Amino acid sequence: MKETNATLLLRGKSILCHSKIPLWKAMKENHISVSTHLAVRSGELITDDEMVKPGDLIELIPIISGG
Amino acid sequence: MRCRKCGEKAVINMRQHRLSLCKQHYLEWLPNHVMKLIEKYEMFSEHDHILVAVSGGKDSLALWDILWKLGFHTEGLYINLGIDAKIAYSNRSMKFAHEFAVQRNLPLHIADIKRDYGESIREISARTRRGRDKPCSLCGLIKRHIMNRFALDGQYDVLVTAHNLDDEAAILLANTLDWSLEFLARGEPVLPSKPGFLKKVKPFSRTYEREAAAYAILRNIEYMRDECPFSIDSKQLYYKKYLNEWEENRPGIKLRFYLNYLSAIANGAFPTRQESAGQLAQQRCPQCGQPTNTGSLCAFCKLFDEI
Repeated sequence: MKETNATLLLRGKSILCHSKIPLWKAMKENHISVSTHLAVRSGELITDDEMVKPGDLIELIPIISGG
Repeated sequence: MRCRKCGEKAVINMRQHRLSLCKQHYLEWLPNHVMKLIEKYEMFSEHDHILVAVSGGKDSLALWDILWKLGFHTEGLYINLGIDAKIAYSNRSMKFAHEFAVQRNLPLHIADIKRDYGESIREISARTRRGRDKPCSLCGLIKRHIMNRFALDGQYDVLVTAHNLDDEAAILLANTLDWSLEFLARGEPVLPSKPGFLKKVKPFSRTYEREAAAYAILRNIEYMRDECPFSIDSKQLYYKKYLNEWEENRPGIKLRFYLNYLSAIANGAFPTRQESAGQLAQQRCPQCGQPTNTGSLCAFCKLFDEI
């Protein structure tokens, strides 16, 4: 992994993303909806305007359920 | 982004409310938001004996936690449908509900359809046309029947379900597209009691699914994160997908859709549930005694009569 990248973790899958951009942008680049996921970094819930830092590991938690 | 109340770092931004909050203020805000709805609709009081339907998912456990924190007298009901699909879905969900209840010293009742009726939902689905076509509707039918019967037998005052705003908006959209006038009255936050039916309330009906999930995470509530294996093609998820796309571009659209619908009901746009279900309460299933409009066995008993 390049030092300038970060990782989004979604349903057990790792997705490399750009850093030094807002989280919403990193999610958008990877076609992940900000309205249907919450983000956790270092055990803390974060908002989607947070900057993604190089080396970050951000877990994205899907929030939609139903049947 | 900063908390509007204290200026600390925000953990959630609710664009529909134009409100961002830190952990501490969010964990105060959501219970207050729910309490206002409970009071507005006179859902229940501190004197009531409340049965909370829990699935082991984020919504029901978050809601039960809030009601517990607010000091209400609650007991939980988990219905084990026997969904396995290689991930032990039902048993794992039950474990989350059980651990939640144990941690808070709350009573949790377990209904198990395999134990009580001899078949899991997969087995019922496989042999019934209704199940093959619509497993989610079968699931809903079974849960509604068991919840109502358990709540009446246990002489509870009210049955609480954790339907959230996204659930209500999705059901509303489906019923609007189908123009199902009879069902359009089902989205009300309170369904009053009537003969054979316990009062049913939805304190999360103005809470976004996202808000419930954030609460569960911030309260360190362990919940079932896997999706029900039967829900892959569910109609509700289909409508939620579109509603969330609209929400992303037009924050608050789901809330406005639901609130304007409630205003329409209040203005007499649809038959109320009491009117549309007026005939239902007059007939009883000869097998289980629950209300039915079939003139013979209720839909639930028919499922098992086909064996």
